[in-house]
Amino acid sequence: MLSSNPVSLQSIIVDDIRSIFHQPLDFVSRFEERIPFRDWFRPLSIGLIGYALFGLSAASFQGGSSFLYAASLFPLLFLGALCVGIPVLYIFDSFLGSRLSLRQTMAIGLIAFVMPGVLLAGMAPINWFFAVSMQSPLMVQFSNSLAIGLAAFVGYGEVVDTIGKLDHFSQGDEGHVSRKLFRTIWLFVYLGVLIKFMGIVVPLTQILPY
Amino acid sequence: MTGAESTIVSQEEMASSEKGELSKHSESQELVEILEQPEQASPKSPSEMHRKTEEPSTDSERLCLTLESSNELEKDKGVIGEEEPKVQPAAKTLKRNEGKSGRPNRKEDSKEKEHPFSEPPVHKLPDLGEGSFFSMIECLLKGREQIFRWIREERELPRLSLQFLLLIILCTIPVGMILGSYNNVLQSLFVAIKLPFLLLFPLGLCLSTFWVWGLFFRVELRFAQISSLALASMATTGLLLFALCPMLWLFMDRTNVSYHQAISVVVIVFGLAGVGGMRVLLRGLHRICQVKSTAQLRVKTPLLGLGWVGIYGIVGLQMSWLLRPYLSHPWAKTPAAVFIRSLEGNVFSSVLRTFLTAIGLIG
Repeated sequence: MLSSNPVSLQSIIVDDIRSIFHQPLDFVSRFEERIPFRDWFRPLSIGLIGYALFGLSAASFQGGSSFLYAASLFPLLFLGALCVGIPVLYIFDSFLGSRLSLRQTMAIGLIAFVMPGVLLAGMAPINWFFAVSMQSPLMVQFSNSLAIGLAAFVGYGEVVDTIGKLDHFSQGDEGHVSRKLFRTIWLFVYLGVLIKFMGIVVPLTQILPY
Repeated sequence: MTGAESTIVSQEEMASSEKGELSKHSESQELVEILEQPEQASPKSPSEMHRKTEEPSTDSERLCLTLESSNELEKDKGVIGEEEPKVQPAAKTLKRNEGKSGRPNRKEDSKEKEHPFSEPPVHKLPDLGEGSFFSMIECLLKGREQIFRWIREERELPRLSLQFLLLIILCTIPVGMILGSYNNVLQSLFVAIKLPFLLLFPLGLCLSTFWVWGLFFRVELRFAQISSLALASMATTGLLLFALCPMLWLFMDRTNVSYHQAISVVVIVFGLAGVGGMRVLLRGLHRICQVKSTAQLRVKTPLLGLGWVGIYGIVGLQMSWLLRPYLSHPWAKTPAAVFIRSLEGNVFSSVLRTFLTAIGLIG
């Protein structure tokens, strides 16, 4: 919808978020050619801010220095897990016959990073309320884990779905059965890797009394 | 005239009469088609100006014309209620008047003249464009389709949202006063202050969650639209609560009604009002997404609406636990009127503990 006002940063950010959620294939196609660094950096920063907001909300239970640790370590947690998962996905998918380029795979990785970040940022106010009002470390941990698990599952599920569609368009079929099976396995293994990373990183954030 | 000439003439007469009938039929068909056609640039009559509500309009002038014409037509027709007729009523009238043979039915016209009050009286539909607070209340009760249309078209959303907010506060204050009257006057005042906060604060917390999950499920609604729809449903809940105030007041009598009976009535009243508000939310979401979404939704809108209601319910439960007490039970050790009790755990662990105690797993 055209507007007479100049395009603001807020509208650009909202457009980026909408294109990632509603048209992931179009989002990936933008990255097939060489693009300026800001077009990579903008969605990346949306994701980073989203994870930082969620970290701040989770740190409200303990307060103090945990705000700083959580805001800085939560984004690194997800980024680290992606840095492990996406290369594995690219190598095995290519080995099994996928024709997706490295740029496309990185763009899909960007979706896998931004989508859970935005979902977690949306759930941050509720998570903050529960952290402040629950008075139970167990319930707060349950609330954090539920939010992270839900966001990660839907985000990475979207990755698998997008790769499947791109495969279909590039090779004219749904993709070989082995690639589909591999991607499904990758999804659950990658969630396991994320949980393992959380076990290492979350105590460092001091959001709960360990 | 010879026999052949007379035959030709009669054939010509028959052909012309058939043509006349056909032309009349085609005229009536054209009229029906015109009425059923999408909106045109220059409507000529109220029947032609009636448009289907399912078609979105991108031109604001056509939009204003459509709304004005639909209001005029609704005045003429005297349509009541939120459901807009699927078949054009002018076409219905035309078809009824034509009768089976396609010719105007003069007997029915005469019958209508004989009994001018056979049709129900005409009620004027409320118009949101007036801008007044009371027209908004009427629209919320009788003309919700108009509200959904305005939200879909993003018309004056800040004004609407403020009016909904004001309505929620005005309706819940008396409900809170009646609830607190079970104890004493001071508790009435405390609950009257807490109740609007109890309904609105969880809604404010949940709006961002509604938006991001709406994004994920490919609902193409802006944040302002979602917040207006949520406030509209909450305003309906507030109105229904206000309407149930007399019933609530009858049971807030400490001398004749026990604590558990009073709590049961409060739960029933809030449950009824909540169901009404939920109905508005689900209906509104369905009506707005029906038109607006270009991509296929990942899930049906009722499921998404129920998910939103579930999230709000969970947050609202914890909020209600935080803002206790509302009705102090007779065996309470705390003073008679307390604004907020000291924080003791959370609602979920309390419910779990109660359940485990009830089934005998813990003492």
